[in-house]
Amino acid sequence: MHDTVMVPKKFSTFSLRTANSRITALSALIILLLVFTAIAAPVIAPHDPVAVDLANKLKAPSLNYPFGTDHLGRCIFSRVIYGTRESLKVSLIVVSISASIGILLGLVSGYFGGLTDELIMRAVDIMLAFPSIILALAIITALGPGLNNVILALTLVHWTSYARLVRGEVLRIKEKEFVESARAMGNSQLRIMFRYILPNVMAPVMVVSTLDVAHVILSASGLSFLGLGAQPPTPEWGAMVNDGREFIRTAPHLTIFPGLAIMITSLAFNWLGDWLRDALDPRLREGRIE
Amino acid sequence: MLLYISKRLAATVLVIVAASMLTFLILNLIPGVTPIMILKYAFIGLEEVPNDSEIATIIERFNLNDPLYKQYFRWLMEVLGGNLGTSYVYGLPVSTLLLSKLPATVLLAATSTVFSLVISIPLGIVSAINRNTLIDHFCRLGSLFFVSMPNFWLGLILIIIFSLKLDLFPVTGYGKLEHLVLPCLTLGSGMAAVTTRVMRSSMLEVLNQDYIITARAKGLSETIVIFRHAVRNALLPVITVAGLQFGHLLGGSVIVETVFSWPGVGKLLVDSILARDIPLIQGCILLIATAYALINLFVDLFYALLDPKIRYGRGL
Repeated sequence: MHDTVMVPKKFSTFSLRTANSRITALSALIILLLVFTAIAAPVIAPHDPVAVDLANKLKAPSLNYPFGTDHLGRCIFSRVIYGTRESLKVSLIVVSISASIGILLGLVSGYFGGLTDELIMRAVDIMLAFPSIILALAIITALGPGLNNVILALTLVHWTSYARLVRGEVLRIKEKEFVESARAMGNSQLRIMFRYILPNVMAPVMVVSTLDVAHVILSASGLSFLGLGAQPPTPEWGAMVNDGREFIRTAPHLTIFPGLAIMITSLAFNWLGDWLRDALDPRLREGRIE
Repeated sequence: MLLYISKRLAATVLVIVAASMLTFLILNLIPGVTPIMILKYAFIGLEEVPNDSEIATIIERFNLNDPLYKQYFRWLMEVLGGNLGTSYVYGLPVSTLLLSKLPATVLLAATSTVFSLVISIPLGIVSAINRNTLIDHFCRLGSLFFVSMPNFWLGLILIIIFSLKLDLFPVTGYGKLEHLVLPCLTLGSGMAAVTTRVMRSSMLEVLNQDYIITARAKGLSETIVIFRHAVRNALLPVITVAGLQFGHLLGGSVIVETVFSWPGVGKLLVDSILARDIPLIQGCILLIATAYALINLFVDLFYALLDPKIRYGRGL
């Protein structure tokens, strides 16, 4: 499982930008398509994703079953389509909540400094003392397996990177003249934080959260693959790959298709995040490794 | 330098202590679960429903009614004395189990790290030197692909191709070189995807420095400029990232170890979580967090050794 690593892009030139922009358009298209698939899943899916049909089990891909059927005769194509819902749901919830918590704590930490800052940042240090998947595993152990607990565990793990990022940005921005003048004009602390500073930290947050969606999709499907996330018969991609393991000799299509779905989704978000970084935030290009 | 080292050491110890607290807390958060687990796994069997008197006996015997901080200190004292408890499932000391699984994990982590560096350093250099050419685009595209690929899936795909179709390597197993190839490829390629990008950008950064221009102006050949002057300086961030990745792997190869049934700490952790074997889970997590903190410490010290700005500059 790979953590988000930001890599310098200082030297990207115009020609690279145009090549990239075509790919970016593609990735945005893929994401739109995924969202559409998630919403319209009942219309698109040719079969019921959880309907067991043992007479038709482990069938190879065909016209009726484009991705074949699994060990219970369920249509893999329909399950992959419904799986879009699970993946997008998990990643959007995790990213939006952890980003909100991280932004808030980062703002407070950076703006007020002192003991508050010290406490919040030490908490972050402790969380970062674990490899993120290990911490998520520990939390799931305490809570028990299940997709909702995966959401909770990943949220508890992911807010730290936002808190760090936002704190750093706030430290830089709060010395700027426009903040000084806002203060001189008698704005309240809260107003300065949310009206003057927050909008200026949103660009890097957008970049990180887009890349984070890809990361969360990989983590969540990994946990489901281990049997700790989505429980049967929920059509979740990682759990489907795990289902396929047993039949990998005779029916590799059980493994291949849901995995492809994970890869394409996370690739699209990684691409979009990469492009956003170039477009929105020149400072991030100078190389920062989380 | 001495001040820096001692500060960094103190911070590491603090982090490990905090990690132990967190590990202990997380697994003891839900009241009532621990005695039932102990009963089910160690005494009455999984299918049985424990009755109240049995639960009371267990609570008494393991002092589970004490306040959490007391239980924590008792546990900590035991841990410091080298006793990590006894696994409910295996009935063996946790430390024995961990020690028996550690070599496999270290072996896999080390070979994967080396493999990823062997791949990524040349690719990063080639990519940077040929910036914005087809080769560069190809490298960057490839690395993005591998970053986005779930490693459990990559592992299974490699099994399908190399074990089942081509029959080149065994599916799972441990002990021979051929068993190591596929897990190492799976982990290493994901890591290489990241380090290639770091190497490329670090190279580009270095190539723009004044001393490279000077070296070129002196009339040194391009080969010497690249390899003597640029690569050596560009390696520093790559080594840092690779070190952190290695730290991650000591615990983070959880998934890949499971795919290949690799008998390491990661697989032990997953098995113990699925069996809710609390002492073993605690032991695994504590070991992984400690290893991770120590690797981080080494990476930082190594970096400080090479970079005087950190040595004299900003303390931590």
